[in-house]
Amino acid sequence: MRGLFKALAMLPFLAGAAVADGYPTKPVTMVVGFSAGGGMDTLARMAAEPAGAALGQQIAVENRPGAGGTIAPGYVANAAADGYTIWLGETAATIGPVVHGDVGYDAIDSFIPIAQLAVAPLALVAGKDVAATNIQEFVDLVKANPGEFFYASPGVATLQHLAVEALADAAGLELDVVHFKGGSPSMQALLSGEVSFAVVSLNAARSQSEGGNVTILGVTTVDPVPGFEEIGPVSDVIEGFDAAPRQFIMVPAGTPDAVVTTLRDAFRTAMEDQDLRDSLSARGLVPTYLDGPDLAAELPGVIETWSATAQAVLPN
Amino acid sequence: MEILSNIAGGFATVLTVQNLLFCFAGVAMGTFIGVLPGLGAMLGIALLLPVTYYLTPEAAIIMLAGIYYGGEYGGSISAILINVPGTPSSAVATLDGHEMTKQGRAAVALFTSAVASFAAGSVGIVLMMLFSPLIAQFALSFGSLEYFSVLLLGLVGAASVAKGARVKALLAVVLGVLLGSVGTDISTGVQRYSFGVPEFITGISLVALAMGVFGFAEIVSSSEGTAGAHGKARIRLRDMVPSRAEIRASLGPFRRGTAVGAFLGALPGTGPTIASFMAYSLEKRVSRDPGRFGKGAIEGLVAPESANNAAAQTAFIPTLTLGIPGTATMALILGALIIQGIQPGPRLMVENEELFWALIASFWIGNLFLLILNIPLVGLWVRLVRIPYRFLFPSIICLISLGVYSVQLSPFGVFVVIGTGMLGYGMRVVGIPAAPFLMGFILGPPMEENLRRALMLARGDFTVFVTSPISAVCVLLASAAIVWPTMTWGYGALKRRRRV
Repeated sequence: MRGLFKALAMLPFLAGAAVADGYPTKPVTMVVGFSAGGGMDTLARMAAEPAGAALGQQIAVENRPGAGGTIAPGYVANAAADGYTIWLGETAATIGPVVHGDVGYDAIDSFIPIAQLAVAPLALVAGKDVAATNIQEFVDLVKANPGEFFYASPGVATLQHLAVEALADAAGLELDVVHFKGGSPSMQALLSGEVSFAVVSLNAARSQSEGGNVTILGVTTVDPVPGFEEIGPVSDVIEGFDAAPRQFIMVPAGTPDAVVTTLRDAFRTAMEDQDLRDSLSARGLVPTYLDGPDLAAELPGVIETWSATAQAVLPN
Repeated sequence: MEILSNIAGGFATVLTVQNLLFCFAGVAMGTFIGVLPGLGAMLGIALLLPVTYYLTPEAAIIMLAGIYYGGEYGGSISAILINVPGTPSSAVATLDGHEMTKQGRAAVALFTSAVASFAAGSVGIVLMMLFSPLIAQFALSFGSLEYFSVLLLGLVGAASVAKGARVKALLAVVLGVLLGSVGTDISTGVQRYSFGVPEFITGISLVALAMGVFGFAEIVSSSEGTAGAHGKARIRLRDMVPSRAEIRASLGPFRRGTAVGAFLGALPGTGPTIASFMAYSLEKRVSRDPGRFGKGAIEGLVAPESANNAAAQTAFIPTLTLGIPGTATMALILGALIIQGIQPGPRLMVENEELFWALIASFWIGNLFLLILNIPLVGLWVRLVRIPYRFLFPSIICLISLGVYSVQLSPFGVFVVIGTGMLGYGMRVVGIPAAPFLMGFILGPPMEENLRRALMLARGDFTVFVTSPISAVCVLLASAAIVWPTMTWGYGALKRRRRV
């Protein structure tokens, strides 16, 4: 048994050495940490096509859901570093080790960033009976009634939860969190008036606000979201506030440079594709391409900020 | 009259060769996947989702929805015939359905199940057509408080979903609740009993557990004995149709089962599985002769079968009118809509009116397909039981393993099936029933979650459970359910003593 583990541990090195100049010679697998049909899966399938075309090989999407999206990066981090197993990750998984303990990877050390594809703006929304229409009014209202309001979160230390905690911290607000199991139940609680506020994806917020059920107070990106210019970002009130989940491609650490370069080129070409950008926008994502080195430079800071907030809210 | 023209428009959309074909493909595949233990509608939908990229929104959603409610039909077939439920929501059909098979009445059970499913599904569709916005509004009046009380009512009835000693059934419920607590605590983020295993962070998978305690355990214990094959070689229509007395006995359970199912299906926090269990326990409670339950009583089959199919249809109400999916499978169907560029939400019924009504029309046609498909197949299914166990059982174990493996593409689920299977077998040996165990596992976690949330929102005030009307009714019923048997028992004891 021990020998088998050793052999498995050696696999990445063997495979890495075996990569010839001809990469890619077979289809590439893009691993997603969520089930088919969800937002991440949709993004994966949309991006796989143009990126595969640029690569000259098909990119197959593989869903490995579980443990809040941390099973997939754990799997990719331990896969052969040959460029045939890539991970479509998001910010939540990068703080997995802080939130869940040992998950078998480290977001910085275990991976090499290929490209950032998009950010998914979150929206702070208020129930229809709440007297606030923008971030400033929200801050004033909560300040005038400290400890009075509840907001819905889709789970402890989710980015939605952390975004509100960071906002409350920066603005000096007192409001209480109530956790639900996922985004839909928290939206339901907002619709039924059980809670006054919630943070949800901009896409979900839009359809409910068009139905007149909720008011969108603001978005968590630094800049207004294209197509939603009338909604002010939180950063209008709290300078520099940035709490938008990012989506990116990573490969296991130890992947040969030539392979990394080939993949970076392929995703750059893919992100220049107007069709892809349009379909990302249509689904409430903001196409925000970042080259691998740029992402590698930004990521540690991003993880640091989220981790600090997560540590503050988690029980010890 | 607007509804009539809407529904006519819906039928006009569905009655194209292409859409009918996708509707048929959906329900046929749903039945098939439902029959196979471990493979559920969720897997079927996930598999076919990439195909829907190339379809029109109508065809895509009609097919995926067909897989969903088709799976509810299929799941009970294997529950009735081989005592291994195809899906967790049909687990309760093993209780009386499989007893009927043992008595050589498998054909009657399958026929009854198909007809009850169709009729209850139709009631669900009519409710959806006429009262969708109203029902959605009603569903929104359920907060954490109300959910807790409804689930409490369910848990109180849980121990009655079994035959044999009451104490052991209660023990099973407690065991189920305990196992359900594995994973991350919703309210604090603390991990319970996960032992550092990342796969346990989100808890034990319901499908893997149900397949373990029902499927795996059944196969292990059957292999002990020399249980022979049941069923006849040739089935004629005469063998399928229940007797007049049975039909009469089924009407009440059908009505109550459908009502329970339609109600719990429309609430996003409950669904077909909870509905089928609660319908069974209600039926046993109102029955004049509860002793017959678990011994092949047709009421014990009709009630849960009506409930889960009514719930499968009404579950679409919050999904489509509010954009709030109640189950993971419903979320997948919403995902398919988003892929098609349709954002589900409160405006869907207005902006995509044609799609909404086409879907409702397709439900009816799909249910009709299912009925037509299932009745001739009864003969074929019954012959399935005649396959020697040495071939049948290994194949079932393979299928179960394949199903749970494919959800996460990891062998972990298979280990969970083996582990819970051993537990299930151990429970059988000492006579602890599996159905209340599963019910405790399903009801425990949401009950705890909603209780704590309700108390948080009420700032620790316990009186809210009796001051909110919906909750008060449920709490009252639950207390009555506990107090009443105790009182009648006490009265009986008193009478006996007087006689001495």
